Formats: sequence, structure tokens, C-alpha cells
Amino acid sequence: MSTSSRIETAWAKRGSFLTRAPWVWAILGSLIAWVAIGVVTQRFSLGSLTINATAASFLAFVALGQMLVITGGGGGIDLSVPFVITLSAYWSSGVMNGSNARLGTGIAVALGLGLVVGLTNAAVILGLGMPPIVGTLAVGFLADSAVNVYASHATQGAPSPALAEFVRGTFLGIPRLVEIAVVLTIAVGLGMRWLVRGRQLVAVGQGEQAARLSGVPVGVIRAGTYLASSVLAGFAGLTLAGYNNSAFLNMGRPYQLASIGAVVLGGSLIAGGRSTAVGTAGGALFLTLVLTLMQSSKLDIGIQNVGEGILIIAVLLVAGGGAGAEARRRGRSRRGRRGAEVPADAADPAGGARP
Amino acid sequence: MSSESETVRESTEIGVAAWAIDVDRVSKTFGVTKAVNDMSLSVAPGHVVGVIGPNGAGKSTLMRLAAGEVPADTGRLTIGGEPVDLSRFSPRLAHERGVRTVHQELSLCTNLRVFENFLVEFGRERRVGLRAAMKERSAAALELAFPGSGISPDSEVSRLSLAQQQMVEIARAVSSADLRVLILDEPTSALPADRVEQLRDLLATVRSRGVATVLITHRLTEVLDLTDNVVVMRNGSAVWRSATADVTREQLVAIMSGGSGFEVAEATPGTGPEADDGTTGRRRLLEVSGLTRGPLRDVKVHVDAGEIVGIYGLEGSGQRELLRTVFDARRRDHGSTLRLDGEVAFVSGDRRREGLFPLWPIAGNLTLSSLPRLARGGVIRRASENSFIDHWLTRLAVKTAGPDDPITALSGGNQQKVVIARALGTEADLVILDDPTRGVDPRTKGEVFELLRESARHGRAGLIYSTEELELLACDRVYVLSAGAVVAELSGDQLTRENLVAAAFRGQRQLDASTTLASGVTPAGGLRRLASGVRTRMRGQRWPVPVVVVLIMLAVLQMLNHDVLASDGLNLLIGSSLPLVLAAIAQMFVVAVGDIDLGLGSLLGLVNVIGVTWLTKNPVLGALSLVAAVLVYMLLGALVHLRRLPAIVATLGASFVWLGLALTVLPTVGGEAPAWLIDIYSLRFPLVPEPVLLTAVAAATGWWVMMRTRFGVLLRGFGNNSVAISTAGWSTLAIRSSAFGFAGAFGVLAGLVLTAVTTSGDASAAQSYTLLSVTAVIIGGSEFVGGVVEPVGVVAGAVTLSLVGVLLSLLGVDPNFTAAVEGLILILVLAGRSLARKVRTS
Repeated sequence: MSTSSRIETAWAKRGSFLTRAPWVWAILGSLIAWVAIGVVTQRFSLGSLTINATAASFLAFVALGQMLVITGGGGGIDLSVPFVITLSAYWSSGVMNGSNARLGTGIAVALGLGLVVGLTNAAVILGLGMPPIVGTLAVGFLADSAVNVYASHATQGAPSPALAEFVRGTFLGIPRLVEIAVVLTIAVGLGMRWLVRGRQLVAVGQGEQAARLSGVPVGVIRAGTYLASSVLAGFAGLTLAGYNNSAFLNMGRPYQLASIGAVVLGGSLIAGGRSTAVGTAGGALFLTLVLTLMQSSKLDIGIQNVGEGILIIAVLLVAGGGAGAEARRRGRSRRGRRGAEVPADAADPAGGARP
Repeated sequence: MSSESETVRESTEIGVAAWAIDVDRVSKTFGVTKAVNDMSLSVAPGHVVGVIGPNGAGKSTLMRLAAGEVPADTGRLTIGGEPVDLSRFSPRLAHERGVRTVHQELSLCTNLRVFENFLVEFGRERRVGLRAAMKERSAAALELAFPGSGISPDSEVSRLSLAQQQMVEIARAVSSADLRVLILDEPTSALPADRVEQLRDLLATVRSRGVATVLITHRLTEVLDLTDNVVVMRNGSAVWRSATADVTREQLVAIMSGGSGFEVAEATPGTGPEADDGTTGRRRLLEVSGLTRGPLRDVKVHVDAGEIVGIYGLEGSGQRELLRTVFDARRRDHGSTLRLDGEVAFVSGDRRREGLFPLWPIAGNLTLSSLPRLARGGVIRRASENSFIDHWLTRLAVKTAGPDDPITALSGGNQQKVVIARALGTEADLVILDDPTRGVDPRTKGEVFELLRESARHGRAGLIYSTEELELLACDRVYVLSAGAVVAELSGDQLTRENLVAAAFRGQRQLDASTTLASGVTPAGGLRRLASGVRTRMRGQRWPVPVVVVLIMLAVLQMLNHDVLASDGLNLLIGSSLPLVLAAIAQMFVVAVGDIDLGLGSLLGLVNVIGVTWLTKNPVLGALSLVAAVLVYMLLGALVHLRRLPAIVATLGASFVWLGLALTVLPTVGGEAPAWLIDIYSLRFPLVPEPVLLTAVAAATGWWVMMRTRFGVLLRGFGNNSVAISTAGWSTLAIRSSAFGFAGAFGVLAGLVLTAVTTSGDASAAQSYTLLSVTAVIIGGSEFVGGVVEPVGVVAGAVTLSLVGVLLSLLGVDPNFTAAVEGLILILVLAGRSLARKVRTS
């Protein structure tokens, strides 16, 4: 074997590793962004990484839930998360009202609200057959109204001091939030692989009909993802309120695109069926660092928004989109009396007809 | 094969140059399956060739090759004596050469009217008066092909019966002026007997025009009656050719069932029926009696433990529905008509759509169905899973593959073995197999049956549907279905190929005989025809309801506040709704192609701030930037199309770009709308308030573009059946991109009107327009599935939504509830529709 071909083989192997482990890019990107921040601020510190990691933790909670919804395929997406975050943060702060005694109630309210929204999402999408985009957006607006109404009738509360202290605290020198995010990431990652429900979820995302015929309860699985996403968003709202020691309107707003962005950046397929929890957490970190980088570079808030939007579209362009979405579109338009006489494993001729 | 084709050539004594179409030794491979293998087919002008053969023989693929829909791997193609460059062959080129296909899967856009479907196919020819010309043409074509069909050119295709749709499709293909080759793929399976008679006459006319016809069919009677030559295909090649005059029906049946002429591709696998010790004492796993559901009619079937029961019938006789109904009976109670005792597993032959999990290796594909058994407390036990995998991989004897190899690397046969092992591994009592050996090599077929046989020996059972008669001979019993009913039950000595095929065709003939004049009979007569014409046009119209709702809203508002309908009141009311009207029209263009634009609100914000800054100070720069915004929208549409991006994420990302740009242009609330814009907006016309007029103009423009232009027809057609549009030779990229472009243009208009209404700028003030526009589109009668849009309804929906806000404030409702009410309206409307759909289907 000649040297050049050996190098080629080595590259090919590396290539396949990177396709199999797309989350490496997110981690790599995070490192580069961290170095870039150091260059821009002319100060390298682990401290900046810790702060960013903490900020990224909130995003990671939301993004992991978003990832579960996306994994289930069928155009699954949860646009209600920003409203759930605000709702949970606001309402639970109001309930706690700065008292440690009502911490338990506050937590129950935050997670309970997430549960209610998640159930509504599931009912609207799986029961009424609304497309997930519109269903979650509509339900999100209901949640938004709920916040506004609550805010106009109740005094603005504050999270319990114990919560604030816990959320801001460290354990073994590392921020607790970061630790929680890491544990959650590992749990979700392992769960998708080693829990029956997790494995079934990935199957549903790869092929709804194939999963159904394999005995997977598709509806139950998908409903579960919407519940998980909303509860995680509720959790993010609770901890966010604790961390800021207050809740304010629209505090969840940045998390709508960012949560989807983290999933995409992490290397999960937007069409579902293949997801990486580590990648999503890495994507959350990367996105947070990029935003910090833009802030440190003294860019306008407007330009920061533009940057975030372009970054996500660019990653989508490189990663290619959801072939699944196209397949569904075609599936819908096919209403022949029987399947085409093309072998089952054939490349779809219809797909070839499109550029 | 080629020698046989030579024989046909010699016997018909025509030189090569005279063939209307000459397919010479073409091959096509999909993955590992050779769909068409070194196949030749030549048809002379004015001749009809019948192509028959079992499912998966490659008939349809051959026709797709001839029509330019699938590129051939090798071979030559000559149409009308001119050779075709296969590398650049396309449906459009095929059309230009005079090749028209009537597809087995109907390729009409069901959301379009009949004549609009003609327009999709023939609309290139002229522009002015296109609609009228197409109406005439479609009416004439239908009258010529199927006299007295009663199909109005104005009918929406989805409201026609399957037979009528088929008639439209045939009439459309035949009406092509430069028709040279007509390919009919199962044209009669949906037609009643009298229409088949008309088709016979039509084919005679076509023949006299010198057109070459290829007829693919399952019905032997038609082959005998209509064709000059017969070709029997199997496994991608011709196995038998003859002049039709030289064969009899009995001979054809014999050929189809392999009695002569066929080389038997595989030995009969399996051991045949097991020793019948105590059949009567076996557990009954499945008992179906008197099941009538969908296409099934009074079906009576049972399966006992230890049995392998086959289902046979001509394609579309209800086999699939029966299998699905049995599988779904796990969850659904059918009472006494369907009793299921035990667990069920399902194997589909459509591996790509219903069998494989392509992103998983072999291991994951193998264990999915058995996971609950391999887990404790919901956690999969690694050791159990591994031993399960080892066990099955050994048993399957899948060579050269480890559990971690990708499933897609396996051959079709080995993939299917994995899918079957997945079902068998569940140890379900009954395994249902839906044509499990489609595209699988003969050796593997035998192995598949061996696996089934073995599981039957362990007291389980199989219910198998196959298109291959040979395979079914390995079953213990076989039910033959025809037109949804069981017409024969064969077992033991009775179970032979000849009996199977004969029973299936016998049933078919009974069906032919029993199908009498079932097609629509339309009375003719002055007033009544007028009335029925109006009814046809109004049927399924979606705009009346939203329009009535707007009027009711106005009436309610008038009752609450008497100034509402005064000129000033109306001015204010409608004026404030105009931005939403325009935004909704913008959203409608995106929804029409099956996407959703989540960036519309932000675009409005951007236009708003550009309006109060650049447009005031530097109108040229302002105008240019607005044009650029429209161009970016078109680019976004093109990217979504080319890279198959999910439109949701792409437009959501774009919304951040719009918002960011807007914040950069105008970081704070403020600015000043250009005086000329406000002037234009507050022009006073006699009689009609300007906003009302503008709304009417907007509605009319949207309606005209969407419903009256060729572009609108193509746009809606694309949303419904993109394959049909691209097969007709249109650029789907241009259509998708233009749809986004129109959305951008109307979005810019909406932003400008918003600026005129608010007179100041706020980058994020228009965010709510995203959901509002989607809601307006939906309550206006459009559907998310694409292609179903109703411009007038959309405008009415937008006005209604604005009025809801006014109504709420008149009623003294907390403005915080407004968003909730709007969200609820959307949910309720969709809930109502899904309920209505359920009521209609049940």
C-alpha cells in the first residue's frame, strides 16, 4: 500500500468517524469560540468558560427537550418553549414570593405548568391532527396570554432565596447548573439508547409506519416527547428565575430559535430519527459562546440576531435538510390505488424527478 | 431475449426505422434489484402491444424508462425513428416526442379542476385565453373519449369518483395533438364495464391515428380483445412474446401460472402441509367472519395455531386491507366479526417505507419489536439483547455481516430476512406477512419459508399474502380474494398454481359481469343544466363561510356600537385590518406550496422600520432595500427547495435576520412615516372608503394570481402533487421560489401599510403577524397540506381576526386575552374540521 493511499484510508476513516459522531463539531466549535472570546477580550480565563457554560445550561435543558420532539420525526417541533419558560418563571416566582416555605409549591407550579402545556400540545397535535409548528405556536400563545393575564393581576413575586442560592451555587468548584445539565445530557443520551421507550422514539423518527408495524405505540411515544419538552422548559424557567432572582416578561423569547439551533448545530437530523444528546448540549454551549463572542466584540444586538439566524441557516445548508420532510410531502401527494411497481429498496424515482 | 424480439419484428415485417417506439435492451437497477433487465420492446404505429406479468415484473419501470421519468442504466431508445439521448431524456422531452403515459397511480392534481389539469399538461402552448381554451379542449377530449361521461371541466378532481378521475387522465393523454406513443398502465382497473367498452372504441380511434399503444393490464380478456401482440414479463425481462391472435385465454392463464413457456425460477420451498395430527384440536388464533369494511365484503377467514395460511388475489382485491385490519385488531375491538387470540407481528414487503430503519445497523433493526421482552423495568438488558442478536444472525445465516454493519449495506433479500426475524423474534402467536418476498432472490425466498415453517412447528401461525403463486403452494391453505370477497379456499391437492390463477381470474370475470352501468348519468335540459352547472361550481367552495362570518361580525359590532358601519367607523375598522389582510395573502402563497413562513412578522417589522427611516430620507435606497428583501425571499425559497431545508427552521432563522436588521436600522421605537405614504393611504374616494377599496383590490389581486393565472394553477398543483407538476415538465424550483417571492412582495406591502397605519416604526411590533397570518389563512378555508387555498376566504379570515380584537375591546375584555382568543380560534377551527372529517368518513 502506497503512502498516499494509506493517508486516504486514514482520512476516510476519520470522515466516517465525524459523520458518525457529528457532535465533535459542536465541541470543536465551542473551543474555537472560547479562544476567540479570549482573543477579543484579551483575557483568557476558565471563568469566562464557566459563566458561559452556566448560561448554556439553561439552553441545554430546553434544547434537550426540543431534541426529543424533533427525534420523533413527522415534522415534530416545539415552538411553545419560550412561552412555557416565561410562564413557569413568572408564575412560580409569584407563588414563591421570596419565601423558602413555598419553595415546594413553586417547583410544583413550574413543572405542573410545563405538564399542562405539554399535554395540550400533545392533544392538539395528536388528537386534532394539527401540524406541530402551528399547534405548538397556538398553544404557546395561550400560555403567553396566561402570563400576561397573570402579570396584570398579580404582583411580581420573587423566587425563594433557597432556590436562588442552590441554582447559583457550586459543587466541587463547578456550578451546580452545569453539573445538572451534564447529568441530564448523559441521562437523555443513555435513555435514547438503552430504554425501551428511547429506542422506540428513535425508531418512530426513522419511519413512522415501519415503527407502527413493528408494534411501537407511535402516538404514546410522540405525546411523551411533547410532555418532556414542556416540563424541561418549565424546569429551565424555574432555574432561570432563580438565577436571575426575578422573572420578567419575554424572558423565554431567545430560547425558541436557540433551542432548535442547538439541536441542529449538535448534528441531530432535523427530520428526526437520529439525535445526539451530547451534540445538543455541545450545540447549546457553542451557540452561547458565539453570542458572547458577538457581545464581547461590541456588536449591536441587531447584528447579533442576524448572526444567529445566518449561523443556523448556514449549518442547515451544510448539513442538508430533512429528506424526511420531502418524503412525507410526496407520501401525501401519492394517493394511488396501490404502490408503484418499483422494488421496495429502490431509490425513489419521484425524488429523482426533482432537482 | 433479443432473439425473441427479433421474432416479433420478423413476424410483423417492419423495418427498425418504422417503429413508433423501439426500446432496445435497456436495463435499470434500483439498489441491488434489477428492475428491468436487458429488455426490448418495439411497437409499430397503429399497433397495440399488451404487457402482462406478475407484480414486480418491471412493467411499470419499463414504461417509466420509456416516458423519461426514470433514467435507464444501459440500452438504447428510439422514438419515431430518431434515437434518444438517454442521458438527457426527461418527461418533457418525451412529451415533445409524442410519448404520453396514463399512470397506474393517478397523476392528476386532485385539488385542481378538470380543465386546470389539462392546463398543467398543455399550458405551454399559449397564454392569452388559456383557461377558456383549456375548458373547451377538456370538454371536447372527454366527449370524444368517453361520450356521456357527465364530467364537467369545472369539477374539482377530488370530487370525482376514481373511475371518473381515470377517465379524465385517459382523455387528457389521448387529446395530445402530436401523440405518437400512448402508454396505458392498468387503465381499466378503476373503470366500470361500459366505460371499458368506450375505451375499446377510443383505442380503435387512436390506432387509426397511427399511434402506437402499450397496454399494461391484469385482465386477460382485455389483452385478448384489444392487443395485436402480447409480451409476458417476469423479473425484469420478457419471458414470452406472441401475436395475440395465436393465443387463447386458457393458454395465457397457463403461461401466467407457469404451465408452459415459463422457466420455473425456483423450486417449491417448504415441506408442504404438515402431518395433520389433530388439526381439529388446535387453538384458533384468528377468526374473521362477516367482516365488511372498506373494500372488504363479508370476509370469512380463520387461522389456527401451527398453520401457514395464504391469501391470494389479483392486485387490489382487498388483501392488504384484510391484513391491516387484522393487525390493527390488537388495539381495536371489532366484536364478533374479528376475534384475535394472542399477539400479532407484521412483516411488510415494502421494506423502504414500512420495514427498515435505515439509520440503524442490523442489530437495532433486529431487536426493536422484541425490546419489551429483552428489558427489565423498561431498561434494555445488554446481555439479553446481544444473545438475541447472536441467535438470530446465526439462524438467518446472513453472510458477511456483523450486527453493527448498516442495514442498507445488505441485499434486499437479507434485509427482508432481518425484517422477518424481527417479527418472528417477538414470539408472537400470529405473524402477518404482506408480500414479504417482493424483490427477493429465489434462494432467500426458500429460506424465508423455512423460517416460517419452523415457527409454525412451534405452535405459532402465519398469515401470508403474496403475489407469487409458487410461494403460496407452500402454505397449508390459501384463500383467494376477489373484489374484497373470498371466492375460494384451496388446500391439499386442490392447491395448485392453475387453480389459484383460475379462481382469481374467475372472480374477476364475475366482477366484470356484475359491474353494470354504474357511472354517473347526467340529465340534460336548459334550466336544470344551468342549476347543475352552478352547483358544480359552488360545490366544495370554501370561501362562503368565512365571508358570512365577516358579515355576521360586522352586524354584531353594529349592534354593539352604532358608529361601526358609518363611513368613518368602517374606515378605521377595515383600515387597521389591511396590514393583516396583506400579510395573510403573503402567508397564503407559502402555505399553498405546503410550507409555513415563521418569519413574516419580522419581515413586516423590518419593512416598517425601513419605511420610517430610509424611505423617508432616501426613497431610492429605501425602495431598493425593499426589492432586495423580496429577492432574499425568493432565494430562501430556492434554498428550501434545492437543499430540502425544513421551511420552518429556515424561515425561523430568517426571522432573526429580519429582526436583527430592523434593530440595526432603528434600535428604538420612533421614526416618521413618509408623508406621501400617509397621503396615499388617506385618500378619500367617493362612496367607498379607501381601506375597503384597498382590501377589495388586495383580495382581487390575490384571487386573480392564485386562481386565474397559469402560475397560480401550477402553484396549487405543486402543493398537491409536486410529482405531477414536474412530470409535466415544469420547473418546480421556479414555482417554489416564485411562491416565496410573492410572499415577500405581499409581506413588503403589508409592512408599508402597517407603517401608514401606525405612522411610526418599531422593529418588533409586528411579531404577532406571524401567527395571525397563519390563523387567517386557515380560518379562510385553506389547508396545511398544500395546494388547498382560498384567497377570498383568507382575506375574510384576516378581516374577521381584526374584528375579533375590536369586538373584545368593545365587550371590555382584558386585551391580554386577545392572543389567547386568536390561538383558541385557530385550534377550534381545526378541531371542528377534523371532527367533520371523522363524521364524513365514518
